[in-house]
Amino acid sequence: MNSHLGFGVGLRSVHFGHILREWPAVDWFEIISENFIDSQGRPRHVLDQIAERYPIVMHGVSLSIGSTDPLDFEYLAKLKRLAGEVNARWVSDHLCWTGVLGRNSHDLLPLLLTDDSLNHVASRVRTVQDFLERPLVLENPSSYITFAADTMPEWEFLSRLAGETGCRLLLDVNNVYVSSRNHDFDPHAFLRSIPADRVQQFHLAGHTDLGTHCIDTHDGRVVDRVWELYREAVDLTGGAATLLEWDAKSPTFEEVHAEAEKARTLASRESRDFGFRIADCGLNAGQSAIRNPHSAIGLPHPAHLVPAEAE
Amino acid sequence: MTEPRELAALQQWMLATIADPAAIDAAVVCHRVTAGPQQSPAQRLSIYQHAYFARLLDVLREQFPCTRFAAGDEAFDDLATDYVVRQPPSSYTLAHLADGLPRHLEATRPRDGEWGLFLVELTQLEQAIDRIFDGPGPERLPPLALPADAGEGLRLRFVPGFELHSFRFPVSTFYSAWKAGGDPSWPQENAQHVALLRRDYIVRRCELSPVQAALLSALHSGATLGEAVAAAAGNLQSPVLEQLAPQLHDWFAHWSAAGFFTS
Repeated sequence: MNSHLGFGVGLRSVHFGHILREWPAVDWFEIISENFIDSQGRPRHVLDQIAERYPIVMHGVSLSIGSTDPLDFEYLAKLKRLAGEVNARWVSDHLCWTGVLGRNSHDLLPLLLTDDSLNHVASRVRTVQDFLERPLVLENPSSYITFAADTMPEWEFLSRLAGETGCRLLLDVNNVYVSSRNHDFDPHAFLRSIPADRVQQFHLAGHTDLGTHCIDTHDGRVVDRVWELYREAVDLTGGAATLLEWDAKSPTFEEVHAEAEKARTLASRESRDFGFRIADCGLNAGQSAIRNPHSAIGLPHPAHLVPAEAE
Repeated sequence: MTEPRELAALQQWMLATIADPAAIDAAVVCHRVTAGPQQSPAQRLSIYQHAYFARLLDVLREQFPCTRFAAGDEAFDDLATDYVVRQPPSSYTLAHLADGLPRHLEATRPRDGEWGLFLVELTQLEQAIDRIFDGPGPERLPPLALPADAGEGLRLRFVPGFELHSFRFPVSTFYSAWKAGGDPSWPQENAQHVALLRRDYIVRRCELSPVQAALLSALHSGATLGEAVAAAAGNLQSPVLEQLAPQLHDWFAHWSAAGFFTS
């Protein structure tokens, strides 16, 4: 499963029509699993056509691997079935919990970072991997709080989890940056502490900088500080499949694709060997959008719903 | 697998706190959540609280755009917030978030007039559209070409996802006017029957007369053509009844072309 798929784009319903008309030269697509595991309508019909032409990776938001609720095996069975039907190259979700006591927040809530919590999550990761019959790929989410009872940093939790379970990592570079701002840690230390050989995939996205904190809104270009972290992550890992997420205020597909292609430029051997600066690569269009905290705040990722089409 | 007690307690506390629209108690939060570089523990936790309601409201606004137009943005948000507070989401998919919304609105609508019923019925229509859009459909099934010599004993098979609805308000007409970019007023009570189905992955509506609705309802329940016609004609007076027979052929030709039936 350790194939470098290249540089992909998150599949969003607003771009369905364009993709089916133009069949753009994208290396691969990542889907939000929950948008398709139950679909018997157009979303699934579109996905089937796209899966015939492009590699597909499944990225979920509802596994809730850190919850103290029982695992949902009906949900897992649907994931497994879809993964087989679209030949998903891997299945990922987030190192988080989304609900408890049968309720779902539909948010990626932060884990308590303790040994007990690690043992709990590791046990569930093993169960999920056995069920799916494939390694699970877990992403570091953006977070806005840490707990007083935490006993280790997030990168140590992730590293130990990967070591104990064999799971792989989806390193979201934007999330590293957002969390580093919110919790005042060194993002470079995060990158250097992650086991490089476990990184299956990178995520890149835009965020909203509110001055006092950052929110992972996926509603704009990748900012230069994140591009810099990305290049460092590529140096540390040797590169991995890279995916650009753009969920809100979605521009045209071409614009999203062009943003993803910047990663190809930055990750190229030439760019790294010759020490190009971000500005030299023409990537500095994505300045941090510092917003008035009293203006409308963007909605944190994730938000997943495919709107109905009706006459 | 047993869950660590401390983790379970923390998760239950956090979800209960962020899913409650009341202000977060700063004194309680600071024992569990650390301060950030520029934010207090309560300010940090409120990011999740804001996101919880904003996300769920966004989904409901997107799923019920016509109901939102009819109610107005502020009233819709009030109704939607009340709904998610009373019926918090439990499914892994946001597609099921609104499953209980029409019933919730029906149970909580003011009883001093029927205006609330119009909104309830509008949510029922939009919910049906949503359900049919991504549910089982007919696209891979062969359409039915009605035989010219179809006899009274014929039973028709409806395409998957076909639904019949009867409303006390003309919600489909209102929906059409809104969809066309108009600014329709709230309608007076006036019963409306609607068939809903999907064709080519798009949801279609077909407004029906009472007789057509009765006929299709009987057929949908499994009646034969003869039984359904008899059921639909049962309450008709003689002059209307005499006009029915020549119309039947046109109706079935239209419904067949519209993709109501499969072979």
